[in-house]
Amino acid sequence: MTRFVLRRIVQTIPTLIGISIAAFLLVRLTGDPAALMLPPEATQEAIDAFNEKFGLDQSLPVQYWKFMSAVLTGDLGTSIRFNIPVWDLFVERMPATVELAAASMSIALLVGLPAGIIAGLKNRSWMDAVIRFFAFLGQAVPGFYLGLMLIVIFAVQLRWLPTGGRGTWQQLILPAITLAAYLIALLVRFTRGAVLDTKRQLHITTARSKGLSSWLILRSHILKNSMIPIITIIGLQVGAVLSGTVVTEVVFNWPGIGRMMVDAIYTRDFPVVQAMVMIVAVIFIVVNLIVDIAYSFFDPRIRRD
Amino acid sequence: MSDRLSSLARITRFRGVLLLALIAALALVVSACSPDGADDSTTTAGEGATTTAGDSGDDGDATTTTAEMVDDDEPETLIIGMGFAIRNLWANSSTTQQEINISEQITEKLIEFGPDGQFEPRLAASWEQIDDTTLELKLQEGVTFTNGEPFNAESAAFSIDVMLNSFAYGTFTSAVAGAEVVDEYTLHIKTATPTGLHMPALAVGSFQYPMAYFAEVGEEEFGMAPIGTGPYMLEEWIVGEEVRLTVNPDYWWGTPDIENVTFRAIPEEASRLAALETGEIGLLLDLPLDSASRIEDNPDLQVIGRPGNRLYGLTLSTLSDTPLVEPEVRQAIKYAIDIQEIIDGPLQGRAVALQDQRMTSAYFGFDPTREAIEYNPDLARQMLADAGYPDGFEVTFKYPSGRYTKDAEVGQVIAAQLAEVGIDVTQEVLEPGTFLDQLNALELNDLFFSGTLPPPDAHFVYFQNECEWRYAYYCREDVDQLIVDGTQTVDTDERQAIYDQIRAIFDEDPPQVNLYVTEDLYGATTALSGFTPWGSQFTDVRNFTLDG
Repeated sequence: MTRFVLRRIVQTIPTLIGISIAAFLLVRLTGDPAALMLPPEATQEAIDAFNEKFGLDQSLPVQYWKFMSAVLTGDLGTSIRFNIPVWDLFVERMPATVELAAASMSIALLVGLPAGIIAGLKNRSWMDAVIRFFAFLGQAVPGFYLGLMLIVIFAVQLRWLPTGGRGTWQQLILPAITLAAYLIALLVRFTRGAVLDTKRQLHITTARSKGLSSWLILRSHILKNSMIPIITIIGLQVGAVLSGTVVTEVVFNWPGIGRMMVDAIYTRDFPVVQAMVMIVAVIFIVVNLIVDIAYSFFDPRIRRD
Repeated sequence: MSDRLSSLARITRFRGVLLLALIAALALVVSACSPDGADDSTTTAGEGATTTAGDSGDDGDATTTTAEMVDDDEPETLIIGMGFAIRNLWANSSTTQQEINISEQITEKLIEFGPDGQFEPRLAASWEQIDDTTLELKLQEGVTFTNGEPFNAESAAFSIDVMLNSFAYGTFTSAVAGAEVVDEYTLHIKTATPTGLHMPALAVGSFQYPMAYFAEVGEEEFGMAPIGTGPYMLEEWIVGEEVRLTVNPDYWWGTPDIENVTFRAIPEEASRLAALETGEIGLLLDLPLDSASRIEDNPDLQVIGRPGNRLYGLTLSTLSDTPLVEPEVRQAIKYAIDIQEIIDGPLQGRAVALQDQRMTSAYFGFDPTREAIEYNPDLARQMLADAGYPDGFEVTFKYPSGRYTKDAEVGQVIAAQLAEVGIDVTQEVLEPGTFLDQLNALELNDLFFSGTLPPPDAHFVYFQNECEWRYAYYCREDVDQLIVDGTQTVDTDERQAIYDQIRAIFDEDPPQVNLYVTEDLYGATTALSGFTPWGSQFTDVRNFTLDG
């Protein structure tokens, strides 16, 4: 078991190196930070001093080596734009993103699951049609557009909710719904499908023939068995939610890491982009690693490969 | 078979539950360590680098609304929305007005360009040129910085040094050699040669700093926790989000009406507009052209505009081997562009044509007798034919999309107008960052559309045509000499004559087609009064009032 875990950890090292090189090079393809950070009238001396200060005058391999050796000592670098350690920026903004992601996940579960179950149980009814219509809509409408529409309707026209920012629970509602919309649609589709599948299984027919009440059949047989793939889907959507926050945070001026990354890309704040990509990659790798390790704990066959 | 299925089911279920549990755990961990990290990037002036828990607030005060603005029990707060987050609060760190707009509420200059580009006294009460290389300034007396340090000639001389050592201002302040203290409130500004450019230098960059504090903390820390003599003091800065200012109760010029001013960054344009419409912000600094009529139609809002100083033009590069190297061809293009069509079309009438010179009446060196070029495509075709191009020619035309007001639309109109006279352009539409990269790398050949916002003095317009300048797409020795002469002439009439000469050369051998200036547009609640837009785009909050 220990050997398996060690092997998996060692296997992530090339992945991380690959990601770091990609992040490092891709962000440099966007151009020269001095052109954006300094005014167009800046003198050549000002540009040279700027590049020297942030080590941008050195060759790419040297820059990469410095970046990686700093990362290994826990130093993610300093934002060119704000002159603040990237780690501090991350720690300050991550709670906002987690709050938004958690809120939208909750909404998605509270709305998507019951709707999917109803649609599955009452398939081909008018309720099924209505739910499927909205699920289709939820998957088709881009988050960006949905967010702006919600602002126009609920903030500008009805004045029920603020247009953006973070601090009060009212400010959380619209961005959470925007981010949840796609998830709800996904959940409805999967739940509906799973319930339909289970409903047609022989053991359900058996249960009916035994004369069990339909509530008992629903609770003990249909739901219990349908939940397995649904929960898996929810778990796998962590990535979708994290990437969804990028658009949602920009539209609603939500001060999370998504917005910070977009800002950093537009202003060529290399250290922030590099470090954020690395952090997000590590989170993903760690989650996957833990899941794989846990799998192997339950199913020894996986360890053998 | 059923064993395998149930084992798989168990694993699948486990994987899902595990992932959910991980998300929850991550949320807890990150939430738990947030206040410490937040401290590092949220600073309060005067207290060094520590302050209250600075996540954007579970305290609810992040959503001050119009209702609160007019509530008698609450201090008046004006929230000003803008498109991007500033980098730091050290005014000499950048010459871009949007970057230093907030710093300028805290830090004041000795002299400034007023709303219409004229020199106005600020911390210098008066000035006099006492010899060819000395400008004598009499300073405001009895002014103190908000940390108690006195403002006097000594601190002013120190601040001039700060300006001269700041990289961002090198281009604009090179005329100034240094400052000498004469007595407590008299300062001499020395120049290496006789020049008329020391005044613009001071008006652009002479920000005044408390000597002891600035020397102690240095420019970087000062940029996080600035101290000045200005109408407002820094209360809190949530990096990347908003800067909260509170009024300086002892402001020497007279305490402003509005107690708290918050500058909030809202990057998404539509969201910014919605925030104005709902009253979450009271003033919007960069109102998009397309939204002006919508704001005007709203009885609770007003649109405030003025012709800006951003000078738009079409640069005709002489660097690449195209027919553009010939002056006659460039002259012809001047007649091929219908500026009024651009103004009435994509710019919706909110722009003013330039009078055949790359400046407006706000600039020193402006010639009021010149008129905008009259559109004359027949003459353009004739001139092209005379120059040996009766069938036109092909060139590359580059313009950005998303850097200037309606830039892509304007670019398309220009391309169509050039086609009218037989100039077949290959259009390259560039992302703003790429556009700037190519500008600096001299890659914007053969033609490009751009806008610049130089300080209101002809020198800062024309020096960009010097052969040596980083992105000069034009080079003539006689123009270079005149530009140098312009920097070494004190007499204003003589300087004016020099810039007239440069324009005469440009008439024959034009580097650009001068197009227009757009209106700077602001959206505001009707409760806001006292707002005068400045040509420099500085937001002078001192005279603002909010009515109940």
